[in-house]
Amino acid sequence: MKIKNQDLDLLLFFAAFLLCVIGVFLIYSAKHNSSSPFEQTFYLKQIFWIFFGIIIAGILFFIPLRFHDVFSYVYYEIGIALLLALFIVGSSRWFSFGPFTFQPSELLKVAFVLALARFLTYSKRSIYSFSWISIALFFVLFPFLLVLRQPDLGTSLVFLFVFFVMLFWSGVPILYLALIVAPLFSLICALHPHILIWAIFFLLLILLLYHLRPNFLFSMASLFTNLAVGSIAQLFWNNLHQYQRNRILVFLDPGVDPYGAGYQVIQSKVAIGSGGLFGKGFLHGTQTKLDFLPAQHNDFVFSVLGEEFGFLGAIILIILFSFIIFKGVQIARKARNTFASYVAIGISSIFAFQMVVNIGMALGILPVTGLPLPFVSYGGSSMITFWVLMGLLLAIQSKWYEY
Amino acid sequence: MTYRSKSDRIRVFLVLFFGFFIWGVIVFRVFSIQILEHQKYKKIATGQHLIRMNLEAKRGIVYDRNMKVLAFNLPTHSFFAVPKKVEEKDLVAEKFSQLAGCSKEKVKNKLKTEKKFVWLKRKTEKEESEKISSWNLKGVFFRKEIKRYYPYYPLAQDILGFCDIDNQGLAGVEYRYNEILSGENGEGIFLRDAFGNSYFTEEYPITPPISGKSLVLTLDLNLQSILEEELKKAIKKTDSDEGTGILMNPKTGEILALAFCSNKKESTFPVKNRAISDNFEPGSTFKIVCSAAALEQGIKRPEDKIYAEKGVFNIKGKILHDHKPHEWITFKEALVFSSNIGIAKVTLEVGKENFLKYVKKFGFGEKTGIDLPGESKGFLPSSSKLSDYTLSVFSVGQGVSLTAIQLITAYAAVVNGGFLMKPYVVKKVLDQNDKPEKKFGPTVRRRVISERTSRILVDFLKDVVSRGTGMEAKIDGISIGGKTGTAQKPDLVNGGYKDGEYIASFVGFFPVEDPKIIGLVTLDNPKGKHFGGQTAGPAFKSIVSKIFSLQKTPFASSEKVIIEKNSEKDVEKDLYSGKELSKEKLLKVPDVTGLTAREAALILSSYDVDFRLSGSGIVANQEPEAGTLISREQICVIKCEPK
Repeated sequence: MKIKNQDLDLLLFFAAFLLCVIGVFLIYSAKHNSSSPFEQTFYLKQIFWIFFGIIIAGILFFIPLRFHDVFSYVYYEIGIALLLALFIVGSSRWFSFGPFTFQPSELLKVAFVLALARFLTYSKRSIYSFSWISIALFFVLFPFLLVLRQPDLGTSLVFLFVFFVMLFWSGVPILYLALIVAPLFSLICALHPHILIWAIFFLLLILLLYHLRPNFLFSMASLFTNLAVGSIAQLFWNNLHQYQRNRILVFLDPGVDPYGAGYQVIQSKVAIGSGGLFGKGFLHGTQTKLDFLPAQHNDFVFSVLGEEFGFLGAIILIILFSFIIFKGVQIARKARNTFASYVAIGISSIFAFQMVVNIGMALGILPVTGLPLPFVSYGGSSMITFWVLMGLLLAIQSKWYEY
Repeated sequence: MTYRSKSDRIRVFLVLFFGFFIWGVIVFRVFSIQILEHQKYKKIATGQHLIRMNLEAKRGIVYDRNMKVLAFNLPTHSFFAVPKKVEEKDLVAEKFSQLAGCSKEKVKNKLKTEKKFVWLKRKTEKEESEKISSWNLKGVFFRKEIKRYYPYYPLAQDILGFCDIDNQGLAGVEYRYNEILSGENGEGIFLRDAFGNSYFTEEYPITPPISGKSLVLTLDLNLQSILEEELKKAIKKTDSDEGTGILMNPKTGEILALAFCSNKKESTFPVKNRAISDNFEPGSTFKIVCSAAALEQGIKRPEDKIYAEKGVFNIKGKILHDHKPHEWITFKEALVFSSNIGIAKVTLEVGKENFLKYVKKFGFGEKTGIDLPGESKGFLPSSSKLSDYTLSVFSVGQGVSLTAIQLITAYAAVVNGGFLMKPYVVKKVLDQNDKPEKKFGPTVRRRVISERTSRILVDFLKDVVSRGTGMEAKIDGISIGGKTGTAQKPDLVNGGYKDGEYIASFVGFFPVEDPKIIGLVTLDNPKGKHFGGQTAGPAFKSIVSKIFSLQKTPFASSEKVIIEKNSEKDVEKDLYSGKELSKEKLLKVPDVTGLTAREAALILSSYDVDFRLSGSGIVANQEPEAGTLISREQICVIKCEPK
């Protein structure tokens, strides 16, 4: 699959840049009258991170992808090492350097995409072999569990989603993919108060195994894993942090706790809903201005947009994201080599997942998982990460890149 | 790509399908929240960030006739708890239960409710509020509230009345003039943030509160203080159950002082003004009606002789007694010595219908129209049921009941030349800038008797004090007129009259030549000496002498010329000049910190402390400090700072 050499995709770059600009305005609006002078300067810091991110993206643009391909496992190992180092430091999510904090799980997303892409590209094993699936799961479970343990349910789910999408992209049959993610469903079904649901799940699992007929070891491992995951589900549930459990419960019924976790969802909906078609205007969002919105500069930045710029603003934002994701998938499809294609689809899936989860959360259709909205939410680590991803994406499609 | 094959198309289709599905869900959701449900969320948002706040209007101030402050507003702190935020419920409950003097459980139960807000202690003054603040309790907050404050409490409380916790008048002037005093509460729409702070916003106009108007009473604080003091003394001295006293300007009907005192433990705030709401049988003071009727009708002249039957008068088988037997007495003497028989005989001559006409003319059986709540009409026996005997008894003031205010108003008519006035307590209404807005002047209800009759009766009453039953009210050098009264108390349970229980009363006025003040003292159930002349009379005497000790120029009859020379206004000024009552030479400096400059000025002037104000806004400090004793010459320096 050959495509013509192209220049830098300016449209894609500007779409991302425009999101950043929107983000700065929203952060300014959310924090300009904050009681803390420190928070009032958030927008300035955000501008700094944006420029820093763009510079990094620029550098990445000129580095051949080959280089990342070779070093992808090293990146991955460094990322995992940093996550483990968090335990040593005793911090949950961040390393602190004076006023700055650095969240290693953000950059691990990049390393994870590159490492999994490398594995999928070069593994000569049969996808039905036990060793292939073991290694693949190994790639995802390590970051997934470490990040989940932090605890950061949202980010850990990013790894699962990207993994699923990249496997799907690699051509793994859909039913086989279903077998791989079966333990997740086992977990959910086991948590259902009615045991029959879990029984039905096993029936379907056995039917699936019969249909696919993977080797014996694989089948046994699959059955055992599903059984084990389901059994310890209750244990897992008990091990979830109370606020995580609340978030899930509140997602199912926001009325459970209108002043706690449900408060955020209700307030977010009120802010967005009160914005109407054209919004209340920049700096005129009463719910934003009067602090009714929690985390309005990062997790719930979409609510600020909805309130101040209305349906029109929200739709423009969604269109910008859709454009970036669509472009990403295009690049993945047209990439000149497999590795690049995997990287591109991985990056697109991160954008897509974070956007859907974040906006869905603000709209009250998905649980509150605390994922930032790419390019828009406040935060240095995530801003740099998204520009790194954007830099890679632009590099893949540009003429500058010769593998 | 390695695994791409025939299933590729399904794959792309699936991706597109899910992609568009999710995209569709999100866009629809945004549309539904922002467009379809916009009104609903807008309403919720408005409810959250806009609050309608009642802006409490400042209640008007009540002054006495010399502009001394009788009632004003004190800024206080009201403490409340947000139960959710209270951490140490036990501690909070303990502290506040001690303050309020209630059980700890009661406070604790309050803190356990689901309510967002519970009052703990309202309207705490400076010291207490500082004490509470120093505890630093989590979840306990305060808000500013205005408290009605009576600097001379309990002086004049019968007239002033009181307010409830929301500053709405419940009795007295506070109740009667509530509308004028309370002003109009304003309303403001404020922005509120998630933490409950409110902000003013120009988008929504504020209806500012309209401050209440102030009242200037006819009351004279000095006279009121004398009246209450002497009334209490008299009650103690005569071992009475209770007593009423009224001082009035007979020419205008202005109430100068009015008090009700009881021997029993006083309730903190009187709900009823008993001087205008309680009925009693007057006894001999009522004889003035018969006398007036007889003179007016020309039936008797003062010197006409009447046979007083040696103290026992048989009226168709029923006996009327005199407490002191007389034989032949003049008509004048019948009143001066308070002969029941003499008056009864005159009444029978006047006739039932004529007599009743004068009873009604004098305003008995009808409300005087005084501007205080709760006035009663009294009771008159009906004409058809009156036999000669009951008419006789009626004429000497038994079998009829009236209020103290009715009695004094009737006597005012006797001494002022014959005009029945409407008594009143509010002289002026001052607007928000203390400019007089409305003045209440004297209102003549009707002419009752001619000026000539009035002059004759005044002469009668003068003799009552100089040589009659009221001799114990006599003061050398002051011409006083008056009438005593001693009435049996009706037994409301068994009918008839209670044995040995009396209401002693005295109505007096001075100076006789040109009455400036008329006063009434009644004592309920005095023990030992029970005649009005022996109990209420001396009480009136000491009131009068106290009033005179206030004056620079004694108000004696010998100095009549001086008084007549002065215009009434000047005399009034002289009589009621706001001289300090305090016997101490040193003044105690009141605490005015935290008040507005205006309030501080009012308080200091009411304490007679000279002061100098500097700055504006809230009083930040005062020199000397509160509580120090200073001489009259010393000046208190008040420094104010903006809020």
